[in-house]
Parts: sequence; C-alpha cells; structure tokens
Amino acid sequence: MLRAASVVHGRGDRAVRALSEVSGRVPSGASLAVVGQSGSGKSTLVHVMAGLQELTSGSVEWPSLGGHPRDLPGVVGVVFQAPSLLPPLDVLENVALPLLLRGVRPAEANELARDALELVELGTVAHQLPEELSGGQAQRVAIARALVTRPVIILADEPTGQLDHETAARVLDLMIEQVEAVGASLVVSTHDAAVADRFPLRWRMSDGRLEIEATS
Amino acid sequence: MRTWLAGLLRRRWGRLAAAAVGVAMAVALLASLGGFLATSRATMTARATSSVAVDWQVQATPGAAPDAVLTTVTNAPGTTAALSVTFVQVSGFTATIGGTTQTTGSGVVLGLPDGYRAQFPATIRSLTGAADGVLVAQQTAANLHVAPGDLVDVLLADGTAASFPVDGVVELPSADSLFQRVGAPPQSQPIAPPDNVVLVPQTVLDASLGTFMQARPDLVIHQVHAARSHDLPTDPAAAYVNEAGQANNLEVDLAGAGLVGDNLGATLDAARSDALYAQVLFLFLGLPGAVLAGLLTAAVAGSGAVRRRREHALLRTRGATAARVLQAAMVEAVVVAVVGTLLGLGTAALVARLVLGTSMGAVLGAWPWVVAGGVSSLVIATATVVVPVRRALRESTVHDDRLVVGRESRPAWMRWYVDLGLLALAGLTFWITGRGSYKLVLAPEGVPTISVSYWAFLGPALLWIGSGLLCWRLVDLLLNRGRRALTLALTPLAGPLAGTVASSLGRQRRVVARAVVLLALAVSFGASTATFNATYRQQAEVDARLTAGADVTVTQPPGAAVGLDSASAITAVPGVQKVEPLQHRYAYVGNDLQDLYGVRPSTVASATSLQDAYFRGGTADELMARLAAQPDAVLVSEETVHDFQLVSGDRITLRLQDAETQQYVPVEFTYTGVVKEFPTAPTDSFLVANGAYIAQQTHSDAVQTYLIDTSGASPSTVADRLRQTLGTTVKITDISTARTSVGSSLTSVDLGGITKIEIGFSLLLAAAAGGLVLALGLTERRRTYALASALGARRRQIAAFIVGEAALVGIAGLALGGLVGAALSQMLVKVLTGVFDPPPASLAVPYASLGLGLGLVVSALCAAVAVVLRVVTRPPIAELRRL
Repeated sequence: MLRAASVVHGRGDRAVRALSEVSGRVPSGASLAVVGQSGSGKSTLVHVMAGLQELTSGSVEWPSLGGHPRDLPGVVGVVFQAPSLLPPLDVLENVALPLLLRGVRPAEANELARDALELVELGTVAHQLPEELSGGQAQRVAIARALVTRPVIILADEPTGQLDHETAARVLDLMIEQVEAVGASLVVSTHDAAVADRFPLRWRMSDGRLEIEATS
Repeated sequence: MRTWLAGLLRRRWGRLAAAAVGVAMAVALLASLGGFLATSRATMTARATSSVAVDWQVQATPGAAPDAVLTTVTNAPGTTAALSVTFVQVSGFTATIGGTTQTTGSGVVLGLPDGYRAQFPATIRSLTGAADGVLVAQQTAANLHVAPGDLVDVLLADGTAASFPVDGVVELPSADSLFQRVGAPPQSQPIAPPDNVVLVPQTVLDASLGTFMQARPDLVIHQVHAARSHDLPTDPAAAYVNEAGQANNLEVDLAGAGLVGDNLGATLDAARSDALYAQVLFLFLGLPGAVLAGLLTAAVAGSGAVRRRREHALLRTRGATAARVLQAAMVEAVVVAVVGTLLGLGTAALVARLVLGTSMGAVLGAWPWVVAGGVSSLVIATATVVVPVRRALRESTVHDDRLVVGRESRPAWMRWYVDLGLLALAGLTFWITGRGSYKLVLAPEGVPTISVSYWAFLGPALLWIGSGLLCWRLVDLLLNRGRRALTLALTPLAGPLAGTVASSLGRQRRVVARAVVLLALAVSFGASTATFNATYRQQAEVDARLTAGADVTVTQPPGAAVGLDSASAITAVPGVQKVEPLQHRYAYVGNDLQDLYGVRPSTVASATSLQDAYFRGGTADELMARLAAQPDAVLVSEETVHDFQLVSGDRITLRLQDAETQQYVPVEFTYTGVVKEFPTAPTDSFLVANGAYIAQQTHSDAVQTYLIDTSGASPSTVADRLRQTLGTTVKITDISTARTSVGSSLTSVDLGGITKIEIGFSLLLAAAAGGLVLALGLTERRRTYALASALGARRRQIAAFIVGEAALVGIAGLALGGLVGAALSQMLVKVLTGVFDPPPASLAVPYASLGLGLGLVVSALCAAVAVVLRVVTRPPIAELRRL
C-alpha cells in the first residue's frame, strides 16, 4: 500500500521529482502492469514497492505481509531490467544466494536453486558464469532467483526491456506461468503495450504521477 | 577528444588521480634517491678532501734545489699555498729532569716555516704550553719526562748536540702521512711513524743545526707542503682523476727534481670506491621500490580496466574507429604521466627539504634520475592504460570487452614453472657470489678505472621476481584447488555464505592474487630494507667499538712500562665499571713483525665486545676459554695460517722482546685458532695470546692499553674525567668520538636521511599495496555488492565478502612477504658484504620498524574495508544507478 509516496532526486533548482505523491493498493494475488513512457517514474515506483528506493515523503507498506518491504527479504522477489546476476558467482550460486542470505544451509539452498533453474528450463547451465549466458537466459535465471524463495509478491522492472520480441514473449510467459504456479502476486513495469495487455490490472504513470488505474 | 578529456577529468578524476599518485610515488622515489646520491657523493668528496692535513708533500730529490721545487709547486695550477719543510734525522734526544736523565733512540727534528700551523692546522694539535716555538711530540715528551720550560738536547750523528727549550707539547694527528716515504709503494712504507719528534721553527733549525745539515745532507730531507684548491668535481671518481692528473703534471714539470706525495689523491682514491659502493647500495635498495611503485600503478590502473573497456566498447559501438579509441587511451596515459611526474618531483623536493635538508636544486641536479623518473612514468602509464586497450582492439570483440570475470586460464609462466626456475637461478647466483673470489666493487689502488660486478644485482632481482611469481602460484592454488579449505576457514566469518564467498574469491583469483603479490612484494621490500639498514647501523657500531676498543680506551705511550696495578687509578674514576688490561707487544713471526695482544682471557669480554665473527675455529667464548686453559695458546691471523700452513695444535716459535735484556728471545706458543678482528688491533696480521704467559716469558707485565666499560655512563664524560685524572701523557679515546671518525667515507655519509626515505616509501608502498589495491578492487565490484544488497543481503553479510577478501589478502600478503623479506635480507647482506666492515655475524632485525610497518598495513587494510563498506551499503538502487 502506497500513501502519498514521493521521491525527489537532487536539491534546489536541480531537484527532479521522480515520484509525486503516489497512492495506491495492490490487491493480494493480483497481476499488475505499471505502464508509461520512459522517465514517467515506473521503475522508481517498482523500486519503492520493493523497498530498494528511499522515499522522500509518504510511506509504503505491505500490510498483509507484515510491514515495510525492506524488512521482508525473500517474501518480495525482484527482477531487474539490467543484467543483475552477480558476475563472480555461477548460475547456481546466483540463484541460491537469496536463500543463503536468509540463513538456509548451503546444501538445501543448492537443491532448491536447482529446482528453480529447472522451472525456467535452465538446469543445464547451472555452472556457467553469467557473462556466458545470452540476455534471455540471464533474465530467466533472474526470474529463477526471484522465485527460489517462494515469494508472496514478485516485482519486475522492465524484465523484457532488453530482449528481442520473441525472447521477451517467452520470458514473460514463463514468468506469468511460474508466478501463477506459486500463487504469488506480480507487478511488472513496462513501456510495451503488448506486454501491458497481458495484465488484467494496469497503472499508468506520467511525470511521476499515477494518472489512471485501468482494469481490462 | 577534448570532450573525452573533459569527461575524464570531471567524471573519472578518482581513477586518474589514483594512477597519477602511483606514478608520482615511483618518480618521487627515483628523484629522491638520485638527489641523495648526488648530495652524498659531493659529501664524500668534501669530507675526503677536508680530512687531508697536507694535500701534497713534494720531496726534493737529493741534489735538487729546494727553492726551485718550491717555486714549481707554488706555480702549479690549483696550488693555493706552498711552504718548505725540513726533516733532519738525529741520533736521539736527551733531557735531565729532577736529576734523572732520559735518553731516547733515533728521531726526527722537523723545521717548520712561519705560518705553517695557520696554513696546515690539522697537522699539529697543541696539548700543553705554547702553540709556537719548540714543540715536542706527546710521545717524546712522555719518554723524556719533559714539559714546557724544560730543555731537550738533540743528539746528532756527528756526536755533537744542540739544546732547545721546550715551549709546548703537541700531538701529530696525521703523523703517518707526515712521515711517509714519499714515492715509495704502500708495502714499503714504514710500519709506524718515528717515536721521537721535535718541531722547531725553520729559523731556529737553520741557526742551530745549519752546519750539521750542510755537513750531512744525507740525513736531511727537504719537502714542500702544498695546499690545493678543493674546487674539484663533486663525484669522488672524477675528483680523483682530476687530482691525480695534476700531480702527474707536477712531476713532469719538476723533471726529476722532486717526487709528489699525493695525499689528496690517495684519499680520493679510497672515496671513489666508496662512492660506487654507495651507488650500488642505493640502486639495490631503491630500485625495487620504484619497480613496486610501477606495479602498484599498474594495479591501480588495472582495477579500472573493466570500466575502461566498457567505455571504449561504447565508443566503438557508437562509431569510433580503433585509432580514435587508442587516441583516447593515450590522452588518459599522458594526463596520468604528466600529473604523476609533476606530483612526484614536488614530493621529491619536499622530501629533499624535510628529510635530507637539501634544496630542490639537489633533486634537479640529479637530472638523470629525474629524466629516468619521467620516462618511467610515461612507460608505466602507457603500459597500464594504452597497451591493454591496444591489445583489446586487436584481439577482442565488443562482447569480450563486456566481460567482468572471465574463465581464468593458467598463464604461460605458470605452466612452464618460470617462478621455480628463477628461484633456482637466484640460488645459483647467491652461491656464486658467496664464494671467496667475488668482489662487488673493484677499485685497484692508483688505477683510474673502477668497476662494479653488476652480476650481483641478478641474485636479489631473480629472488624478488621469482618469489613474487611463486606467491601468485600459491594464492592461485589456494583459491582454485583449496576452495574447500578456504570455505572452512571463512565459515566463522561468513556462516552459510562461506562457500559463496570462497567461490567469489576463486573466480576473481587474478585480482586477489595481484593484491596479495603486491602486498607481499611491498612487505618484503620494506622488511629487507629495514633489516639491511639496521644491520648496517649495527656493523657501524661494531666497527666503532673495534676501532675504539671499548667504551673508553686509555693507551700508554710506547715504551711506558706500566704494570697491572695502575688500573686502580682508572677504576677510581666515577663512571668506570670494568677495566681490562691489554698488553700490546711486537712479535716476529718468521721475519714478519706483527702486533701481539696479551689478554686476560677469562675477563676480557667484560670490558669489550667480542663477537663470534671475529674468530674462526670456535666461538669467542670457546677460544677465550682455550687461552685460559692453555696459557701458551695463541690465536693468529688467517694470512699467517695460510703462509705457514698451520694446523690447530701446531707449535710455533715467536720472538718477543725480553724486558730484562731488551733482546728478542724465542717463545713457544701453540696455534689454537684464527682471529680476524680484535678491539684496537690493526686490519693486517696480528696475534692474540694469554697476557699472563707473555708477562712470564718476557719478564714484564707492562700494559699498554686499558679497555674500560662505562655501563651506561656517558663514555665522553668518563673520558674527560680520565683526562683530568691521568694527564696528557696518555691517549684517551671514547666510542662516541670513534663513531664519527671510523670507517670509510661510505660509512661517514649520514645514511639517516636515505634510511628515512626508504623506510618511509616502503611503508607507504606496503600501505598502498594493502589498502589502496584492495579498496580499488573492491570498489570496482560495488555493483556486485549493490546487487547482493538489493537481493536482501544485510550489512554484515556484505561485510563477510569484503572482510573475507581483506583477511585473505592481508594474511597471505604479510606471511609471504615476511618470508620473502627474510630471504631477501639474507641475500642483500651477503651480496653487499663489501659494504660492511666487519661482516655481520647475524642480521639485526628492527622489530620496532617491522612492528610499525605491520601496524600500518593492518590499519590500511582496515581503512580500506571501512571505506568500501561505507560505499557499498548506500541504498542499492542509488548505487546501481551510479554504476
């Protein structure tokens, strides 16, 4: 739940308002697309919802999950737009990392990570390095990493933004399919109308403001 | 390109500044060393020339006109003053004091012209009485028991005598050169100056002994003593060549009328080899530092390589040609080189002023070093910035340029075991240089050319490079094959993340190994430099103690028969703790007259320092115990052992002077061991035996020297008190005076400044290698940590990655560096043995300096961890956006 959430970068004359008093609520189990043009504040909104971006004013909470997203590691899964795998870790280690950060024993974490990789059909690249993967593969590994903790909500910032159309469609299919399989909520930011059309619930962002809440 | 440069300066100033600081360190070290070397050479020349009492002693050949010789010497270019001096050989001196008549053996009457003492002040030092008139040498005064106001009769060869009233008693500090046999080779010079000398004004001499001198010209020597201009080249070698050439010119001008005793040239001859030693020494100790600074710069520049590759890849994807990209890299290299050089020269000037007390001029005066620094800065900057870009342009694709980690393959040197090969070669070189025939600096006496065995550099260089590569191999092995062990070691720190941290370190082992190797090399450089300097200081102290004999040494004039009981007067002086008598006699070994020292073996070490290195065939304690147990035992020099083919236990017969008959009588001794050095003993052959046995055999327990231990009381204060108690007839020296006067011109150069520079730079390099390289490496990976943070990693979990790497780099770097430093110290001391006199028995380990270095490195590592932790725990998205 967002209450008058604002994010301002910089100060004085050079201040840029990335998010302007955004309020909204994501229903439990919903699939939501945050749409808008580049620079409209979509990514900032997703980052705020994930607890990765400090608010200048207002608040963000997940009441049904028990608090601020920053205090809910593993409960909220995040998929980034840019390559987000840790370069010095292989694919399996990357996927297992969120579990290890939560204190899961290494053997168990590795087993769960393997399962997650199987879900995204990448069991065979478990010991490759991120830089040895294609863009689509890397994003599927990122999805596996977001899923491995069995999160209640997954926040994805332009997850297909750097992929070709065909690969993007495959990755999106996979993500929606797996999120539905685990019963999580899904919030995806996108500027691609085709992607947005896949979601029943859509928020439109413009100049940092949440302008329209649309439902198809 | 202007836009690119402006962008670099605005956005990448940190990267440029770090690389420029690395370059500046190399330039500053080279320029500082060069400045010091130039200054120290000039100091050596100045000290050598100032220590000479009379620059030239030109002796008129028999039959030549002394006045003509004087004119020629006066007119010789560079002569600032020239005075005629007359030496008259006499049969002896006699004096009747208090009803007792004392008579000496043969001696010399020296006729000095007016103004001689003013012109050559270092020749004569007044002890008592007037400064002018008839002056009696200290030893002669003691032999005759005369004081100012008494009469001395000069006994001449024709049976006549002349009387002189004594005006003063003087010491002749440079008697050896004053009474030299001019023109004779060193081996033909007299063993000692004459015992009996009286100095009289030339006018008095002419009036009193004029007739005798005319009758017996064979007993008269005319010399011209000349002072020369000391406006010589600052380099001792160049000064020597200049000076020797002038002396040769004069001999040609004299056309056989005179021989030149070139005291100034002889002193410069000794100083030039010392100057070369100094150069070699500074190269040995300074070059690794400069190389290290270069490697550090490479590491600093290399830590930004990933980002630079990406930037250049972006340039290429936006249409920049390969030449344009290369140009961009060159712009960066030139900026780094120019800024680094200027910064380095500024630092060197600051160091010169603060540490060496010299000016910027001294730094710029060492222009070859400055040029070398500038060139090396450009080479370093080009090698670290341009070369990788050029290689990338030739060999890699845009995709390759995006790689961050990459699969690491074993480099060729590792596959071919180049490290072990280099270490084996270093061992071989060490073995060769350890053999007896090796001499680092070869400066044959009187020959203008001197040479350095530059092969000596090879051993330490190979050891350093080989050790560095071996460290790399060991770290690589640990991170590659020893991941399980590393995981176990990291578990207390990282918990469940230990395996992940170990994997992360393993995949970045090139970066980690580079940091470890740089730290190890910096630590080894610092440790070996500090150890070498400490050993050098230790040996300078040993040298001073050997020369002085003890804290304070009281020496009776030759011929004075003072028994053992006279020690009580010395013991009564406040500050005197232990007094040890030392007999000094002369003994014939075959036809060779050698110094013989009689000691009390069981107690001699209580007043002086006897090191095991002074002896062969046993330790100092063992050999003294043998002398005590077997009274006729004798320790002889290695040269004597060799000449007479002696084997331990051989009976040898020496001839010693019997006190009763004054005749040399045979005395049986047993060869027991070899003595190489002994307090107060000369550098050539001598003998050490049991004093009681010598006293028994020669019917005299006369003691010539007392070695005094002051146990903490100021030696110079105790020496002053002894002078007041014992008077001027005895010679009293103390170790603090000896410290400033002993040794060659090399040891006379104050190494304090250069030691500060080297230790300072080594500490700085070690701290930089530990802290800066680690911090830059970690900072380059802050995207990794920001991502981990975005995935929910807590501060302590990210700290596990960072501290784990820091701990690995710190522990491995310090441990390996310590080992390499120990080996390097041993090799440096061995290779540079010629610098030490006497050679050290063991290394002096400067625990305080090493502890300080350790503390500094650990602090630098901790600071690096703290800074990186602060950077990487910023809000993750802000950090990811920044990258």
